[in-house]
Amino acid sequence: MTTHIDIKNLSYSYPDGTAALKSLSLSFKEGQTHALIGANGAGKSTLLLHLNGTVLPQCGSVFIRDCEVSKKTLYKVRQQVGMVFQNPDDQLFMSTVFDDVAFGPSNMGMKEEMIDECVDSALNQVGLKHLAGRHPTHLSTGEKKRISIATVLAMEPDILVLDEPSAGLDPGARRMLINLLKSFAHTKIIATHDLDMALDTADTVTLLYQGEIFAQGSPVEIFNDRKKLEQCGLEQPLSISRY
Amino acid sequence: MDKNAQIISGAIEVLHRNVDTGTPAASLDPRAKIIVTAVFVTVVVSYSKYSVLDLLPYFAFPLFLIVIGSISLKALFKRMLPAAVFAVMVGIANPFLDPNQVVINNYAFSAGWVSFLSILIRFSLCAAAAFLLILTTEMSRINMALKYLGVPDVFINQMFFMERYIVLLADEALKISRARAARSFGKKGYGITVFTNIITNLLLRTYTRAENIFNAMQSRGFTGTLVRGNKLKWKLYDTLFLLSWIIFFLSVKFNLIGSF
Amino acid sequence: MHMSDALISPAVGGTGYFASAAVIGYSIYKIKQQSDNIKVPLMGVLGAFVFAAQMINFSIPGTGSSGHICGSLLLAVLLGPYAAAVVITSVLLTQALFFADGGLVALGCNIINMGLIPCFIAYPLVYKTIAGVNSDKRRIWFACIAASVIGLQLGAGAVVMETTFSNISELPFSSFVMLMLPIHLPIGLIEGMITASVLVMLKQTRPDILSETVLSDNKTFPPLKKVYISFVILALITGGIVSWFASSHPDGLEWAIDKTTGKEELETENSVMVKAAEFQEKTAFLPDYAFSDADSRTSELAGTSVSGIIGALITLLISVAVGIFVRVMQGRKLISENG
Repeated sequence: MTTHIDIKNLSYSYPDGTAALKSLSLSFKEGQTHALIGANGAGKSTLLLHLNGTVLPQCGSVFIRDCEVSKKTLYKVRQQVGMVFQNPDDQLFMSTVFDDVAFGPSNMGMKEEMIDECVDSALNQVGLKHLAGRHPTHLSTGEKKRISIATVLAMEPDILVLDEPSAGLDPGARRMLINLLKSFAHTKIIATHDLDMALDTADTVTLLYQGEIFAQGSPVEIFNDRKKLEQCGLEQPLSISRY
Repeated sequence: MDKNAQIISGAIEVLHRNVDTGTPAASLDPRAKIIVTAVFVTVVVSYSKYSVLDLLPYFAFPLFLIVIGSISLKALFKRMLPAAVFAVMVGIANPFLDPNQVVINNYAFSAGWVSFLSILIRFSLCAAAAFLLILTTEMSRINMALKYLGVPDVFINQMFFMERYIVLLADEALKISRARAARSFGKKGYGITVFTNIITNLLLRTYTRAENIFNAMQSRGFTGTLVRGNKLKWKLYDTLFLLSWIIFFLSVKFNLIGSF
Repeated sequence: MHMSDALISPAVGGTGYFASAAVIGYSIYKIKQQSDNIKVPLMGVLGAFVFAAQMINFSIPGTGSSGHICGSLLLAVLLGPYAAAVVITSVLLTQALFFADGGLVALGCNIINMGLIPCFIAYPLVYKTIAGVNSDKRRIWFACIAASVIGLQLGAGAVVMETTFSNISELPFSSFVMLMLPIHLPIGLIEGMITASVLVMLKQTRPDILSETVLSDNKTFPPLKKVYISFVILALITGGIVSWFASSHPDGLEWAIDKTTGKEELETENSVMVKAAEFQEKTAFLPDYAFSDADSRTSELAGTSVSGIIGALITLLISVAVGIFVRVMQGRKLISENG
């Protein structure tokens, strides 16, 4: 399996001097689901923001296949890497669901008729075609999260990056989301506190601690290592710790 | 409920209007509605301060919109009431300051009360026109019309975003308000210090939100335009609406309808 | 301070629209020039913020009544005058459409009173002169209070002029002025204090907001003495100019009265009016804004300017007094912190 995303010696510090990422090196294989776990402040979100150039590397590099993420390649990178942010209200800023899903393709210069098809297809994939005319404020969190995913699916990216996708969802909506993610063939990078979801969906798990990689491996390896998880401020997923 | 919470909830209700898109009023081109409303308010305010009877024919326009828009009178009055208080407060001085008399149809009236009544009528007409415009037109269509009428993108984006996030921010203000009320044991109103803390809190959250939205927009290739204006279609129905009302207003204004 | 359509004439409304459209148009041009895309959501969300903040009332100490902030000065400091003016315009338009808070014909005037005056007069001429960029707590307080008081006084004065020129309300110019200006003095004071507190808090928690959004060429700020002097000059000029305009009023008002009632001036037969006129004559030490009852225009204008300047001096004294008060309080605080 080929490397889809390659991160080399990535460092980043906040304006006040705190180091968020310390010379991180990491790669993600194509077609797989990669979970990124760690306590709050470990650097997960900062790392994700580098993947589509929302934050540019202060030191080190990020490669999407053989394209380095830089100011010049932002357009190309953002078409290939679809980012779903944590708060769906910040992601759905248009007045109707249709407009939100059409936002990306429209900015890419797609023609009107093609946009309609694109939006249709994206909403179908998340099973919410019937909500196309609705105002985002009137939807449930679960629906908003799925539509957020649709907004990036419409751009037909190869990679999906999701920041805490299951946060705030009721069990039914959460299960729908997990099944949805499993149905996508894209390379997926998911930052999450929901360790059970990571166990359920991920092919690899990376454990971050204070801006560095603490451990990396298969879900079974990482989640069975209780000591390491607790050192990083986490604990074992319920599905494992119960048995 | 805490008084502030009441104000905020009331405002949220006003902002959250549901436009009934099936009505004839809603299917009118927003450009036509905006232009007719603009002409309407301008003509109404052009009357002299003692005009009362002259202004009555103008009620035809809001009544027309109420009918074709299936607007509930209750909803309209609910909105007009708080705003009417302003008009009353302002106009109430007139009866006490104007010692003259005005003759209408051979009856003498105290000029001050006549001008007060005129103020109330002006206000009702103009406020009703504004409310009916937004009760029969969704914000997205208003934005599209403004774009067509040449308003710059910067302003359209501004109106667009504001409308999208006002309710959210009002909600946050409400939550902060309730949290504060829960810890203040009946003390009414906010002292200035508490108020300052509340709005600083709200402001910081606003900035974080703006940054997040910006990141989301950038991630989907934002180039500067949010509203595409090419979805409006002008129909014969709109021309009819535009012309007939403007002709009506001007005829009344210049006494072409010979009944006075 | 929102003007309603009930009190405005198309002439005044139209003039207001032309003036504000020109300035807002220019502001939009300046914003586009800066091509700072973050501004798009930021301006929008701050507009929503101002809207929400205006919905929260606070109780005014000692009066038992409540008030709310306007927010224009705060916006000007956070976004710079051009973006702030556009944001305020959008807030005013929304208020006019959804709440009839301010009329549609009066919108242009409202934009001037509550947007353009704070952003293009109070902010650059008062706030920036005193505070510059990245100034300390003391300067921010003085600058905010001064800018807020002056901005609101000018705004209130503008409301009076616009209402009187429209000639729908019966309130005579002088009474209206005596009503509006003193009321807006404590309001300006409080808003200034709130704005200052917010800015100081922001400086501590998110200094990046203040440094990256304030558009200022003023890298170094002048010493306080120079500030006081320019302040005095500004107040004198403003007082002089405003009263110049006011002096042309009696003519305009008489003309308007003539047109509507066919009389040269309102005959004060009504006993209330007579009493009021007598009272005014006794208390005003510059009756009818003139030194003498000579018909000569120059002496009348000189008289007007003097009284306008005196009015301005009084305002100045109040704001200086506030500034000194603030300094004293800061001084005490420093002593107690270090002691």
